[in-house]
Amino acid sequence: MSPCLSVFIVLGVCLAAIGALYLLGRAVSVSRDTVEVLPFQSGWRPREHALSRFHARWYPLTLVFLAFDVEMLFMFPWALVVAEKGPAAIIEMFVFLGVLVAGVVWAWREGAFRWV
Amino acid sequence: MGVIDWIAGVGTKRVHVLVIETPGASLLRMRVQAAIAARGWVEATSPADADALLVCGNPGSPLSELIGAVWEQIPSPRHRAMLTEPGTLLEFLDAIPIALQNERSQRADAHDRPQHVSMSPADGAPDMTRVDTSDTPGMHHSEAEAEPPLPDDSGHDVSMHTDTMYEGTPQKNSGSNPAMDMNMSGPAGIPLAEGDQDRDGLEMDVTHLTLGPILAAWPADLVLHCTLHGDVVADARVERLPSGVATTEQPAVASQLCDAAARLLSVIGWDPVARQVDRLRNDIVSGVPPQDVSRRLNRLITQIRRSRTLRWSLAGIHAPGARPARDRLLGWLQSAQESLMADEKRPFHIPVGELALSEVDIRLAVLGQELSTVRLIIASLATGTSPRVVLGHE
Amino acid sequence: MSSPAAGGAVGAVVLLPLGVAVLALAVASVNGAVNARAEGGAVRDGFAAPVRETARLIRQQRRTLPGADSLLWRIAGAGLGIAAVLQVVVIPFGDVTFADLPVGLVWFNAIDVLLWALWWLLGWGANSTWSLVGGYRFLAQALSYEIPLMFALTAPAIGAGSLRLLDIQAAQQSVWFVVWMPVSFLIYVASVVAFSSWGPFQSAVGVDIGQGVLAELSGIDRLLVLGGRYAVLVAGAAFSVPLFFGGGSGPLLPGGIWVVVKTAVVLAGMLAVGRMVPTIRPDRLAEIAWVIVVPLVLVQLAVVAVIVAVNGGAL
Repeated sequence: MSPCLSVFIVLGVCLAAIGALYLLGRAVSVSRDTVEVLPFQSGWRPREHALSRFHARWYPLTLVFLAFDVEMLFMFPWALVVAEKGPAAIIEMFVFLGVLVAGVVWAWREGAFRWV
Repeated sequence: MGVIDWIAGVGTKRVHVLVIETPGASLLRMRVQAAIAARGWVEATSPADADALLVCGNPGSPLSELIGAVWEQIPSPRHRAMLTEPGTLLEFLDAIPIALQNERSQRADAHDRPQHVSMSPADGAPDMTRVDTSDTPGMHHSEAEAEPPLPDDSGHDVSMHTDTMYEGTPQKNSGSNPAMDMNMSGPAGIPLAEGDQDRDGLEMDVTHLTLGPILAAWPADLVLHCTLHGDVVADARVERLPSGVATTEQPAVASQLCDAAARLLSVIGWDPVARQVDRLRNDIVSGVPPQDVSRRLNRLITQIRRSRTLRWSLAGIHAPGARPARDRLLGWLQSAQESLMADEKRPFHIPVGELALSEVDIRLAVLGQELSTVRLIIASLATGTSPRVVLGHE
Repeated sequence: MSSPAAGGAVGAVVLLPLGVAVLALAVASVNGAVNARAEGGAVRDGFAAPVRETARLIRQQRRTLPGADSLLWRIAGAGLGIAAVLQVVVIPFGDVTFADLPVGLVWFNAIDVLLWALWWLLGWGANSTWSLVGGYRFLAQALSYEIPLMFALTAPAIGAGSLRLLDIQAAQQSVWFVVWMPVSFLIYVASVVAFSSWGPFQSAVGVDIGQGVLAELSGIDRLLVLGGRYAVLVAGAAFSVPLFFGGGSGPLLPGGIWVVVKTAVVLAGMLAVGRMVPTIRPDRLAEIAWVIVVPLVLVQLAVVAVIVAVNGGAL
């Protein structure tokens, strides 16, 4: 059995188990129907829907994150050949990481990691 | 039916109670909390989490309408009760699991309750017929909650706003009116959020959220109508609910201080320690010998004082003019300790000093802060939980 | 191949999700018992708490909100437990792996990134302000823990020169990786707690925002999230065993049992340490994570890489 097939089988079993749980809930709970209620706002009525353009003040941090996230693409293959390639691979990778860390230091000085 | 009954039996051994304190009834609320903890039950943090709604004291307007609206948000099986004196507390609590297990009435309630939300914002006068349908299982003392509502002008309003129409109106599910209001753009007649300039000059949606009075670890008499950019409070209007009964017996100083500390700790998110301080408060309220309580309190003070994470997490959190949150937390616990150790020979005197902040100050303290900071600031003021002189000074 | 025979496979298919669920229940029970002790209640009640909660939530009516994104909301709720099981699928129990993926480590990484989406959708789906704030809080927290976590995961891969978990496990025959990769291990464990929104990293479900992403959930929907949270914690702890604790190696007992025992020890450590620390707010975490933790983990990687290059392989 191929590993991928195994993953899909387990996925199927999980879905079935969750489905069974929902069926059990339907059978046991005091109401089969889902009740629609207003969002909890301490009892006050909502003035508008909550889904909105959210003020994500950590936006600059996401850009720093993306730089490192893309870097991970190189990290995993590199990890496999370090022992084989030796010092050259280590120096190359850490020079690259050093450049990225310089970016982190710059972002830090710009206040990207503080957003309150 | 055997399985269903068994599940109902096991499922009602750990009841989640949404405890609502009317202003001035803090001792009653603490007694309820102690009784709930003694049974191994849990305090609910939101209606979705609750099985039972227990009102401590006799709520006036607008609190009773707010309670009615929150009641509609509690999923079935559910039970509500209103407690006005501690004598009947244990009976009330005993009644909760029985009512929750009653399969027939719970099914009927789940079937009969409004299944959908429909808002008609133009309808300013609260429609009390919803709250008044007292066929809900085991509802006690519903008369008080069915009183015709009064327009709320009793709260001391320091608003800079004029558009208080929606903010001042409790929400309700009027199941009788399924027709959607054609003027409104979003589902269920609730408008969609619209744009405004945020503090950085970007166009962002503005939403509104009211904090209190029905909110976990929040002062019973404080209402904060917030205008939000995401989770940042752009503007706020502070409202105070009038105290119901002025003559109600007040809890012991030590239990008030522990209560304030436990609330601040749970807002901080240090659950294990908050539980222990909760327990101290419950013990004081239930009359456990002060020596026992004092010993445990001492250990907790040491643990809290030593936590570097707490120091770091609370750094810079304070309302303008007030002492830092961490100092106040430790100060409360110290004072509680002193008050526990005091006896006839060495009575405990509370030094009268710094007063709690006014509504204007509270508004200024929360402006431009994000919600978690707002919660920390309000919890560190402990406004309204007790006589202000006690908590204003450490 | 290391895949089990057909008969065993059928057993494993059921055993795997069941095992995760049982261990999650056990962790919740122990946590409940310690909580009950702190509150002065009966420890027995605390142990029984998760079972009682399960019965209570199975019987409870489900809720929805006007304008809720129901599909995404429910997918997110059910997804947590599934993600946990999918992480466990690639873990070797002794010499047996249910799904022996050649990139098992990256698989784990991919699933833990999936958790970002799940937690955030959970906050988004409800169409409630508290939930939404909780969802965004998780993202802010994730931005801080994810990069250190990824680097921490790289260390065992460098050590073994492979992304396959059986190879990583085999590379620890003489010395467990936790011995020479302690920084990686600590960062890994903290990140597991963070992606489970648990303990000191539970700001997305904090009491201060009405339990955030949990605020509007009831019935089975809530049960799946509460259970899924512990399942993710268990999966993370179980995954640390092949990465840092030599997998199923140990005397007397079979490998599979050792994996479970070591998982339990890691979980106990998480429970004990997690209770001593108050919730860390995401906005305070970011600075520490990027300015202190990222350089630390890079130093750890450099040390590991040099050792591997000099030694020509793992210690």
